[in-house]
Amino acid sequence: MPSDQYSFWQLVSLAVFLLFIVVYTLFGSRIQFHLIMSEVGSHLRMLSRMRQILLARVTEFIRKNAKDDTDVEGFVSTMTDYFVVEPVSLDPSGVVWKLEHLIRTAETHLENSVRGVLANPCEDLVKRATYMIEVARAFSAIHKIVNHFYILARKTNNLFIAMQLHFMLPLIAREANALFNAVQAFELRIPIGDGAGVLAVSHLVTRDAPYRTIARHTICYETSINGRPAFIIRPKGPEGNTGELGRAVEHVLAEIAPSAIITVDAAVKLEGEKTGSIAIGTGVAIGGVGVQRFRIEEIASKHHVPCYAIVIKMSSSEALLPMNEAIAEASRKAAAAVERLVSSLPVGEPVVVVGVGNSLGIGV
Amino acid sequence: MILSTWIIVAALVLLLLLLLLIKRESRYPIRLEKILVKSVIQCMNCGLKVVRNFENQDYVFKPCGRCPSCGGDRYIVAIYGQKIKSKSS
Repeated sequence: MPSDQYSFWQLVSLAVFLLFIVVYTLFGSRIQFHLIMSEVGSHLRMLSRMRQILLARVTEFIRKNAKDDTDVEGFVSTMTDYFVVEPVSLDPSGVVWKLEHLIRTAETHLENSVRGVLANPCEDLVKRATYMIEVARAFSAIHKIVNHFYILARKTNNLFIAMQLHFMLPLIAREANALFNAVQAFELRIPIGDGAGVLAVSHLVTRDAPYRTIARHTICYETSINGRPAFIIRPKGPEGNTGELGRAVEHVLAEIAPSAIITVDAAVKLEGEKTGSIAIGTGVAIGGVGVQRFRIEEIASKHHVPCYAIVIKMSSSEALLPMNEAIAEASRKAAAAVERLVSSLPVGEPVVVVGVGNSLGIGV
Repeated sequence: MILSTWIIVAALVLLLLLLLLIKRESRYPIRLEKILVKSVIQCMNCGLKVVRNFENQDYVFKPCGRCPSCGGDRYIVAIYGQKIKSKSS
């Protein structure tokens, strides 16, 4: 009878409805946990695959240039696991010098290790191999951290650890993508976006201008900009260097009393800002851990020298990838901005201009 | 009957959506971008510019011989990459 059928289906629908309520109430978070973990897991598998490809590429590059009897796989594996223990900062006084010492030790150790395995260890090759290992190390670190939290969330069945990892996935993917693609620039010695500041100050000197080395991997040109004597400091290229710009500025300030210190650097743009846009401000524009910036701020405040910063905006991934046309063009605009800024300073008084960044593929 | 059928259909659709959400591939793929790298050679005397593909051992400010137009010194003044957009990406 129709009335009986109607009541039967009513019962079925009520049962399904109640079942859904019970399932979602009791197992909702468990279902969500499995959905999140499934997505994080698929990303982790991809990270793992890309890490293997990246390590294979770095290994192949070193093998091509290594001594015959070298265990290249073992060497790359050891170097990508290399770590630096941060100095104790319970008493923060003097921590910058300790940090500088540790960074210098790590850099020297890595370069010397690479030099030891290469058959023809010229400076350019050592730098390229070193940076490739650095990229592989950074990529491995991302993989290890994601893997750690993935396993931790699985072991503890903790939805909130899984959710935090899930929220970070787009940002992690961005960084990993940039690192994965950065290796081709270091392999072929193509200038990277981070070198925009170095390229900008290089446009301020003629190609035959003499220079002298004033700190490790750091050079200084003496020239003039619009009637003002100018000391142009930058890392030495075309091999990849970031130089010791702080020490170099200290060296120059021991000789002269400049009217200003101008730093030109690449800066990470905010979403919505245009790549290659230029901004001018006050302060010392140097990225990294801050040791070189600290040195310049110290000496500038001691001698009451004004500090100006000119930055070329780009995304964090563009800073690592081969330089694009917009950034190459922006470096010329930044050089013009330096000239305009120098024109506003007293005529005849010297000025220090510092090109900050990686000098990979940018010759002297 | 009509109402209850709809409820069951809706439940099945929800179940299907749930299964579709479980993806095998990541939503944020990491891939090697193909980049075409160009070197810009410029004469320091007449400003004549030539753009060619990047060659191994190129670097910015590398001397590149004499200018065919005026005989001035030529240098690489810029090296930049252009992303190649493939149909698959």
